[in-house]
Amino acid sequence: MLASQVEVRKLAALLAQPESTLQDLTAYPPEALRTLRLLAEEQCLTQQRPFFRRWATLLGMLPAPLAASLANRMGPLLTARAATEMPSMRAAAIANRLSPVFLARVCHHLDPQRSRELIRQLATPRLVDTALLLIEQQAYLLLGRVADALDDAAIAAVMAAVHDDAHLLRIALYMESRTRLDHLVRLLPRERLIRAVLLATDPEQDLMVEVIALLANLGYGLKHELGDLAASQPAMVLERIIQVAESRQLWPDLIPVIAELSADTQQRLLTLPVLLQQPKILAHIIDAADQHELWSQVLPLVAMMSPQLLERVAEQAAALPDQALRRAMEAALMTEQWPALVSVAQRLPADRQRQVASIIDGYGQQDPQLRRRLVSLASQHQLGQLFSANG
Amino acid sequence: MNPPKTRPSKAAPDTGQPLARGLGCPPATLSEFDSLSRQRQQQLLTMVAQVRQQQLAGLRQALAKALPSLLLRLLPGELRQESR
Repeated sequence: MLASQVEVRKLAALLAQPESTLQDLTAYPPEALRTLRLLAEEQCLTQQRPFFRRWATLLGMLPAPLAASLANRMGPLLTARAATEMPSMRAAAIANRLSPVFLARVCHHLDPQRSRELIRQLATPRLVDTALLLIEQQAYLLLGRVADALDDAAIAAVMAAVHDDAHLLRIALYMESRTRLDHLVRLLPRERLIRAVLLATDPEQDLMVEVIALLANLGYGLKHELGDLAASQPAMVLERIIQVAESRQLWPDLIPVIAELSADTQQRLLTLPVLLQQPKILAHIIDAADQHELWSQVLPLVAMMSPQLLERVAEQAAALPDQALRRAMEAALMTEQWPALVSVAQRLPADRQRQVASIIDGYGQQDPQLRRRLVSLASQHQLGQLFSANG
Repeated sequence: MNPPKTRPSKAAPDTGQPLARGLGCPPATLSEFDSLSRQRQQQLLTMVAQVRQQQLAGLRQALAKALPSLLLRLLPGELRQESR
């Protein structure tokens, strides 16, 4: 899952390790990884706290110009640690007297959790200048965390000052709060948002992951509109989206986006030759559907597939563990997606067909009417012989 | 970013929980990581300890560099002149 990959990247940055040394952790849920990261951060950034509290008290008693002058002499590391221990208003009064160059250096040492209020209270022009310097340094991870703390006016000012939308996408990838991200995206002028999403389709830019992450975290309306826009590109671009999703295993993120696209766009995606040419892709999509409880979003797509593609899906479904088959059928039950399921069942080997029939018989014990309905549907797909007449 | 790895099975959890102990939290807080081997949990703790040491060294260095100048700045003007 992309969110887990992003969390591991943040943890790697904190621990000053190459991301590859923590790759095994990407299998864990993002929430658990975030907890681990915050605990590790707490250990790393709170050493010598009593000393810095005393230091902060001393600085707090001095007039702001003198305190700012001392901060310059203290250097960015000590300033960051002292600022975290100060009342935020006091710290902001001092910070507003420091140069953006120095503030950008301080930001690299700030404890983002404890500095939210301080960041909020910085004067907007200073904040914008500091953000622009951090963008120059490509400190996107840091900026993502800072962006979480900013109010709408400050965010709007930064967005207006940043002319390259690629920077915004790279920062958005690292924002912690998904609901805040959806809100902030709505602050962008519509044309600019469209331009940003279309950057994903530019082969010159390596922004596909960022755009998929953005789309995955938006609400229904924007996901539908922007997803359709990205998917309205030529087939070559769509193939690239599929290939990037496959190479980085972004299916748990991309399936919910595809599920919100218009039927026409979904149909275009399902006719891409790459799905037939690389059976592993379908296998991974089916895997993701099962592991991330996305069957209810995948089954409507199955219902739209060509007979050829259904054959490939059936090949993969035949290899599913019994419990996965049960989960897929539960999803069909909850979302009334039986036609999709039966069209795959029709292409399964005989032993798996019998298993499907036996699960349906099990439903029949609770709901005989449902069984009758499903047997009738199965009969229309030449599967009637799997069921005994009296159930 | 590389594709995610398969998560180790929780079937035989290692009950040591060095990670939770080392990070000073209740075992339940990091229970998701029970399936990580003890050795891997220790490795992660070692990485945290290394960052702590680097941070501490950085703080000491920064203090050593800043203190003379800070003390000088805090001295009254006349004394500051004399000390130069």
